[in-house]
Amino acid sequence: MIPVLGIIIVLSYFMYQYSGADPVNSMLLISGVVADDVSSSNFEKEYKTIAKKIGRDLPLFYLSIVPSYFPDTLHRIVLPDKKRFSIKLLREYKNWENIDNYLGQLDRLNLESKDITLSQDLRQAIFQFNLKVSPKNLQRINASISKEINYVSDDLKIAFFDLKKGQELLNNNRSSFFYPKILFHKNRNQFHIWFKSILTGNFGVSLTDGRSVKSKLFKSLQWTLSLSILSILLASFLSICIGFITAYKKNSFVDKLIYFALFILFSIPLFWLATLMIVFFTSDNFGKWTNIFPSVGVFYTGEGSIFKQFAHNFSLLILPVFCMALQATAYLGRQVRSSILQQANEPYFLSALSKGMSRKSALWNHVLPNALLPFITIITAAIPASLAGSLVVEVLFNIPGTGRLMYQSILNDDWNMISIILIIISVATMLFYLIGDILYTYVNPRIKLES
Amino acid sequence: MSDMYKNIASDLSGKCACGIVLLFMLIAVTASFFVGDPAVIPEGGLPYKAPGYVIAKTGEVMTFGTDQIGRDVLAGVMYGARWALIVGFLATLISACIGISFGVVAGYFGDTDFKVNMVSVVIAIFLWSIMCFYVWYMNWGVWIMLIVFSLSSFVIILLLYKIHSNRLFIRFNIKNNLSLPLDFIILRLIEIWRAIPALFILLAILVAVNNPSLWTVVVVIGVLRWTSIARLVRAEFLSIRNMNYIRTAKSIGYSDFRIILKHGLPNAIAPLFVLFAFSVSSAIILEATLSFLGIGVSVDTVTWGSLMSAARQNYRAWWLVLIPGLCIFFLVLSLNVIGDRLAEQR
Repeated sequence: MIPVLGIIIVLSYFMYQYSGADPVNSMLLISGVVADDVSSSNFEKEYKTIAKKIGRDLPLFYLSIVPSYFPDTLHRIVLPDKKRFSIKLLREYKNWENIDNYLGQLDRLNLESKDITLSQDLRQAIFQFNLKVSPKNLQRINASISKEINYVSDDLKIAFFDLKKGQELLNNNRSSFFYPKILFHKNRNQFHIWFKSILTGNFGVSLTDGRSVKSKLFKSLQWTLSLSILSILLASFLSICIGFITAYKKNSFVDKLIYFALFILFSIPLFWLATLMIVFFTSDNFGKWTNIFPSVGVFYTGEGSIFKQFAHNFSLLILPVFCMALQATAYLGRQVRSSILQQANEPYFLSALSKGMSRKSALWNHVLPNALLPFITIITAAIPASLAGSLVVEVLFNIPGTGRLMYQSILNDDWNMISIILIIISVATMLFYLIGDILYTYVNPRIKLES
Repeated sequence: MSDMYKNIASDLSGKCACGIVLLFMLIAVTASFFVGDPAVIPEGGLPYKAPGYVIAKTGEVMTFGTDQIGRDVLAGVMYGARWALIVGFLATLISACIGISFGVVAGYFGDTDFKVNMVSVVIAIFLWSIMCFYVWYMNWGVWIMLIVFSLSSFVIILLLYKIHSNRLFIRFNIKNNLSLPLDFIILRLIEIWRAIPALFILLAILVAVNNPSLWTVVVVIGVLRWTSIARLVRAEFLSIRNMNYIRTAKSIGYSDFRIILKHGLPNAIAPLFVLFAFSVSSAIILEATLSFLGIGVSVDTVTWGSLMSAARQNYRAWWLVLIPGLCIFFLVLSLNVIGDRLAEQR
């Protein structure tokens, strides 16, 4: 279990890193720094400070396998555009010394071209060159500089000719051969810091609004857990009743009818059921009597204990709980029925009948407790599954639970949040599977732990 | 196959189910003969008009009404059938390929039967990682990279498996004394896969991918959902691997490939059809849920889910909820009935 957990943590970390989301940018947005033309150098400075603060200038993992032409210190470049650009150049020319020089020259050219009043032509050419570095675009700058050679400042000229020289150097020293190189980074890497902070319970801040991940998650878990526990309780009650009735009246008309109804319910997609409920039962568009439930609204999530909030929103929770419970009943009811019928084939049921017990009380007293044994694993598996499974219902009914939180974080690229939720759900899933197994062996000692 | 059909269509509900699936297939194939492009707004079409709305300018009748920007819902529903069937069957095909190969390997070889030697394992892993490294840094496209990765893994496993008859190994007296615990490895893989909630991973991948199309959705759904198939195939193979006919085949000297393909799979495939039917229906539901949430579908792709998502901004538009929803419901219901019949006959 521990190695599996470790793999999941590493997986979610690498999904975070390779998702393309930029946490520094989001943090800058929260603090109100915006990238624009005027203060771009200021933006870069702020970016670098924050990146350094959260350790983005460290290597990703304990070790990295890179081509031999990669420098050891590539991770120190924190600006994503610059990093992407240098990697692109590296892959093309495979010679870091010249590329490093070249990048410095390019920076100087950009700096020089910013201060003075340039002609439209030259400005355009430099802009194009920054977008796509190619000999053709370089030629274009060359042409427009030589056209207005008298107006252009000396610094810019020098910068440009340096750049041209750098380009030639790059072109001449192209190499194609490379071999893998393994770099070890010890403890000073991003994964180590991230993992340590998670172990100590410091989950960082959410990248959408800067609030702490822990408090957001805790609040949403309350909603999701209350929703799922309520619906699981309702579903178990319904399915035990239904399973018992259908098994008791096996092959009768009632049995067939209920079985058919459960089958139909099983085929209804949850999101369709919820939407239908919202469309037809929360408004009086289709007659006065259809306006049964309150319309989907904003939940009261202010101060006070969870119970107080719960009492406030109870009427809003009826419909979602009902939807989730119906969906679960469709599955559980059939399970209970087949489980009871299976147990009714056992000899102890026959002997109970032959003692003179009625079929009903024999089913209720002897068969049902045995038939409900598999229920333990199903229900313990259902609780962690509902953390993710309630997503659709929470999004549709505007419930501020884990599913909706995850949905919004995914849409906002808030990977601080996503990775923590992923880890928590995986841990919960495995933990509840384990609890289910232990409970099952405890209740049913015929099963040995070894299997 | 005809035997299977007879069992499915043994009563009225089975016949209806087959009929409905065939009807949807027919609609999917012939959609372009009856209606125009669902992504194009008909001239003068207004948004959110109820079924039976007649466009005043051209006199065109919108039998199922219009959606949030005035497109024909009937066309969307008919073309949606095409997408739903493609998603369901293709995704199931992908997950079946992955699931069956993992399941067969885990069930047939178990923890003890895949004998290799340490030398070949080390060489294979080394070669494979070197190759992965060079492919990664060769500036080829993502798709070529993926194909090369998967093909090469397959080839490496084949090599591992075949290498023991190599003359060189016999010459140096290198014996196959290491049994690779394939069953253990694959079970752990399945365990990890099941601990991660599929819907979230699906959402995360589709949001992270640039310009996802429905084909991406198909591939991702297919790749994410192989575990249940793998578990079933593994269980089937575990139960048949010690049966007499497999032992006989082994003793005659048939190759493992031949045993798996000609003797193992035909006997293990029957219970799989039940799972396929349910898998197709749940893939359809998953795709509909995704496009209902508005993820993974571009604006000009009209699916049943995306039609229904238009009703989220305007809950008075009941036809946008009811009509595509009924289509999904009937298709899924009939697939489930077929699966249920198949399960019953066993």
